[in-house]
Amino acid sequence: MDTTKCPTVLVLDDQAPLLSDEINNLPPDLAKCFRVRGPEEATDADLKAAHLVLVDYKLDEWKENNTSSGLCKYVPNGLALTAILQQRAISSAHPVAFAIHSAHLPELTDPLPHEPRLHLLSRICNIDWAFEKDDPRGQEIKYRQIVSLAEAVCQLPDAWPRADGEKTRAKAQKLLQINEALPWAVQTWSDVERARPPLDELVQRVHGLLFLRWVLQRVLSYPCFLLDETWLAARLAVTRASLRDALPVGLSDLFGPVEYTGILTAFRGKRWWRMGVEYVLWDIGGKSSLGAHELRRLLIEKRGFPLIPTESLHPVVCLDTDFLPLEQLYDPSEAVRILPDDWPPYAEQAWTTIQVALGDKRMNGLVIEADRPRLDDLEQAEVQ
Amino acid sequence: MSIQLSITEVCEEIRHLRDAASDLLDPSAYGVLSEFERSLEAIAWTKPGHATDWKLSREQPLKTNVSNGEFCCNNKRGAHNCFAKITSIWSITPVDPVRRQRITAFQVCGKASVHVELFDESGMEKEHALGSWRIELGDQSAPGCYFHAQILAEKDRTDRPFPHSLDVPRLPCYLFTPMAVTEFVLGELFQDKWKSPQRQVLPAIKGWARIQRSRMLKIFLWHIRQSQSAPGSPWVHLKASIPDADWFVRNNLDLKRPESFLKN
Repeated sequence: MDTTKCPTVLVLDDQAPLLSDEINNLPPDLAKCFRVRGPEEATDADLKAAHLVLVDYKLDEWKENNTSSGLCKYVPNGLALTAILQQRAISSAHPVAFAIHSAHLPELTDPLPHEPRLHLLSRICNIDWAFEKDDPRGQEIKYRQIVSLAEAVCQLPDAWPRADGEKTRAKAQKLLQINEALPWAVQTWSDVERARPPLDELVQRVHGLLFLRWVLQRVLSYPCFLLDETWLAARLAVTRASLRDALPVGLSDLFGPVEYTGILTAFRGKRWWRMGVEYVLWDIGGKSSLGAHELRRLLIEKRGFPLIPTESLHPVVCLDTDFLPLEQLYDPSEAVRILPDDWPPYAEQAWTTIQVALGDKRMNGLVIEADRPRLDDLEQAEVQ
Repeated sequence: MSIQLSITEVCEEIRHLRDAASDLLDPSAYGVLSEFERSLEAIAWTKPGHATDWKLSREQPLKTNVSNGEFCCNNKRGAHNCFAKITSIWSITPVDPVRRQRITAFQVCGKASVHVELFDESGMEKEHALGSWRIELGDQSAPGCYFHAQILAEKDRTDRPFPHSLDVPRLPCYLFTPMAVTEFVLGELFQDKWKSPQRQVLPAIKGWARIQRSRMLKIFLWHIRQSQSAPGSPWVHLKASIPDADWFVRNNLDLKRPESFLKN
């Protein structure tokens, strides 16, 4: 992994001076990564030096643009500008990622809330990510996330291996930080393969950027070979809150060796390798696979972790109407399976509660055919 | 030692059936089957020779949905509303990788039994057993044939017919993995639903069919081989035979090349 490159973010904004002020207030280690330009003043050299281009969505204050006449001269918004710059960046010697930076993201994801659907918005708009200008988490957190995306671009090779399966696989494993010496590495790679990483012809043309997008939009955004806290809690059959409590008091150390440390590791919070988690559980279970009862007894009574068992032995994560995981984990008998748009076939099954499905028409429409009879029975019972 | 099977193939078998039969299985089946798959994946981390009980436990069996008399076909209704509980225990060990560097297969090294119990959905709290059978793999010294089914005769059963003390007949059969037995059960309980054309074109069924086709072909080729080479009664010979350990992981068995599976 190349850690010698300094990530550079080119910010294009029609209110460049305002944004410059905002960035200058950031800690110096962070601020030095940014170059803020108005659309009119940006140059080829700026683009060549950038690893990530952050484009404002609304460009109403771009005076020169506003006075342009003719169909092909006016740039309606930042997405249109991004499309032009993406084409210019293809000839760049190194990969360049593109993201939208806007205070108007809800307009783009309407009627859905934008935060849980940023990966979808990015995918639809052919960009790498979208960042909210007024991020409720705070500006420094947002700018650190932006820099972490630029750092990930730095880690990509200038040229992706061509027509060499072995080198390509080695490159992907290096980016994901899969250590082949680990006992669970082979199965982990099978897990990765099942998620269809772009490794060949598609990815070569764009310096491996598609690989980065796959991690961003198709892996970190769904539960598949990496698990976040919520899905880890479901795997252990413990409450989410108790898992959060237990992580800082030793549980984090237990799963430390199987924490994801690959590309974009700082972008969306902690993740653990699914297969690595299984290995840890198998190992502490006396080198055998324990059922949920025994596993929880081991973790709580013998290891002393402050975990609270869920009522269900095989709980599932249920999504609410905003497609955010509900705090409570549910037994499958209280839930139905849903097919949200774009949910990948290699990801864990998506579920919602029967209550949510009965109370929300849109969620009701996403329930898979196989589970519909259960809903219909309940709906009829309610009517009677 | 008994037969070997590919770990990946059996894991895929579990996933395909979980997806293809989700409407016919109890909601708990998703978690039960996920755990069943995970525990098989973990076999690759044990050392060859180390025996593990790979099981669908009695505490968390694989349950089907209730069949409302759908064990009759052509839209006729049977007299029972019933469901099945499937449990299994296979004692297995990873196969020592000779040429490959990693463990890819497991071997049955002890008990291999899949138990199917049918219950009446009476609406009462206590479940009423309607019947049960087991699909098992024998061993070299066992008096029955290698792939066989037994009716009732479960441990501690004293009731007639088929008390535990009477362990015959051992009926020959050819579906033996826990998931293949599950398909058999689903096909019995949900005659029309399981064979419906809409289901048979599902991607999961296609993946499932690829595995089953290859395994069934191998089991039939083995039966042909044993029948062809029987010195006396083919049945007597079959009853005393077990497949070569690697029969189900061989890639060179070919229906079009009889020399690949027949004895010279």
